[in-house]
Amino acid sequence: MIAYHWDFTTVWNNVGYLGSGLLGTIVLAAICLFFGAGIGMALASR
Amino acid sequence: MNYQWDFAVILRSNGMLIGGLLGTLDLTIMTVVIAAPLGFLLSLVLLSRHRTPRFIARCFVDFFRTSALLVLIIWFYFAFPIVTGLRVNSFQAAALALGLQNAAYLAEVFRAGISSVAQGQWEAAKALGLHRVHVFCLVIAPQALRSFAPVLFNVLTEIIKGTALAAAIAYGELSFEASRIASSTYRPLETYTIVAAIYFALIFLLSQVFRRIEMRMAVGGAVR
Repeated sequence: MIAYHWDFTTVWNNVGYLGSGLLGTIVLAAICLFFGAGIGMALASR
Repeated sequence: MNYQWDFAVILRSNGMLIGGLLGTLDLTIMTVVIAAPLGFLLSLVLLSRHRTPRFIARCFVDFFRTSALLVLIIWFYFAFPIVTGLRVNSFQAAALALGLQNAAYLAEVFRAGISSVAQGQWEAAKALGLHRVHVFCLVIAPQALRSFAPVLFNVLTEIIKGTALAAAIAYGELSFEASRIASSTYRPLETYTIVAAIYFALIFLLSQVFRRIEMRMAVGGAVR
């Protein structure tokens, strides 16, 4: 086993960045879903 | 915009592109070798009557289906050796991440395909005196295969495109070689245009092969 000292406090200290990253992921996913569904339905109805 | 396209510089690096393409194919094949049998086994466990193994398989499938592939690849490369003590190179880490995630996807595909076969088919085959294994192999599997064959192609294309994420851990597949060519020639536009064309050609070729197979499998050639 490779010796490694796990330290999650650094992650916890930067939780704001993770939060804004998560928000960006959700917004991007929503936009992709909206346009993807729109274009997909338009193509399927042809 | 005035931009002088120069593909000749990129085509001189064709050895790296071919090496990258082979790396992509290697990783795709290894992923399929891991994902297909594991996905099939998981689908059987998901369909079993025993609650505990079904719960474990459900946890596995849900965990890997909901994980981001890039995060999995990075985790298997950096954290997996620390947690398990097993050393893995970039190919093995990428193959594990891709293989396990696609096994979870395939488990759902196989499970849905097997479930879509009418219960009467099981009963009719059993009434003929066939053993459970024969019922599955001779009666259920051919019908299930027909229903999930188009989805299998989708999963295969996702695997091929997913291999590009292995560039994050410096595995020498097509996208990684492209980034190397782009940084050595200062021609990223031409490099990624060619790489996009290679991905398109590869997946389009496979789609034609799968289309033929699907047409052969369809009852009365009913696939358009």
